[in-house]
This record gives sequence, C-alpha cells and structure tokens, in this order.
Amino acid sequence: MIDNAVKELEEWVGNNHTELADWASDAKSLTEQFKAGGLAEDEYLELMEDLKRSQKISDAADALAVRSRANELLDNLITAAGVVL
Amino acid sequence: MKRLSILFAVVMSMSGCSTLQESWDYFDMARFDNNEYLLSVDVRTQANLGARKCGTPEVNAEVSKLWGSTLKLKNYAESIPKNEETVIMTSELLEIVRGLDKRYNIDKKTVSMKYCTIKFTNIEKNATIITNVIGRKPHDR
Repeated sequence: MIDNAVKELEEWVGNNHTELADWASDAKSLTEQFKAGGLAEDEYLELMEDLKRSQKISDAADALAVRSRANELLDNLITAAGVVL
Repeated sequence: MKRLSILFAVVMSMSGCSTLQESWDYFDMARFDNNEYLLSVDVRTQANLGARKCGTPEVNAEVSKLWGSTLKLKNYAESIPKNEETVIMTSELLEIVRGLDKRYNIDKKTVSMKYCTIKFTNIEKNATIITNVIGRKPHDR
C-alpha cells in the first residue's frame, strides 16, 4: 500500500504545478526516510501532518500578500486622486 | 466625478467583491505593526538557533524558548483587529511547534536526529514565509 502511495507521489513530483510538486517531493522524501528507518512511525505521521499545516500557512500568506498589495495600490490611487481632483 | 467613478470601479475590481460593503471589508485590514514583525523575526531566529542544538542536551531549552516565542507571536497577532490571515498562519505554526515541545519537554520521548532537523527546518521555513508577508503589510502613511 505504501509503495502505491510512493508511486503516486512520484507522478505528482513531475507535475507542472510547482506547489503540488513541492508538496509531493516533501512527502516522498519523508516516506523514504521512514521506510529506511530514519524516522519512527509517530514522528513520520506528525511530519506528514505538518505538511498540511504548512500548506495552510502558505495559502494564508498568499491571501495576505494579495490583500496587502491591493491595499497599497488603493493608497496610491487615493493619493493620486487627491492630487488631481 | 468621472475620476471618482473610475477609482470606485478600480476598487471593486481589485477586491473581487460584488458589494461596496464586501469591498470595504476586503480593504479594511490590519496594517504593518513593528511589534508583530519583531516577534515573527524572533521565532525565525529561534528556529535557526535551535536546529544547531539537535542531538545535544541543550535542545530541550531551545525548544522551550521556541514554544514561548511562537505562543507570544500568536497571542499578539490575535489581539490585533482585522488580522485573520496572520492569526491563521501563527496558529498553524504554533501547532507545528507544539509537536516538538510535547516530544521534548512533556512526553520526554527519545527523538531521532532526523525528526529534530526536519522539524526545525520546517518551522524556520514557515516562520520565514510569515515574517516576509508580515513585513509587506501596508504601512500607515
């Protein structure tokens, strides 16, 4: 079962979607280290959960970055409008 | 008046919102805060320093400091109104750090070297993302 999951991860690593490829690469690396005995099972499971949490952090960071940029643009527009009105 | 109309149209399209209230809410956000930024830099720095102590007896103290810094950042972020994205990021980061602190300082389990280095690297990576995005919040003019 874990071999099937690794095969699927390998396909995802080659995916053109960079974010998905990065996630799959991290998951694959963790799985390989677990299979090689470098990580205990509970450590492996926790680190896999961390990948989901990291994704949530990235999603919130992207949303905040877009909102911040939009706000700065609006501030610039208001400043410019104040000058010309 | 024409310019105001154009400005209004630009605001609505930038926010992707269908009503004026939604647009207002979208742009009504927490702005750059020196303390929040400094706290996020502390977490990033603490993760960097802690990673160097993996496999040594000093790592427990480093984990405690990291837990304290991350909790402080999350609590501070929560105290700022209109700060939803930062609260999500810092809460998730705190959960990642919680696993580390539980293992070292509560359960006092044997921890593998690989787990320690991967965990600290992951925390530092996420703390860097958070620091960068907090640093780019709109500044007051």
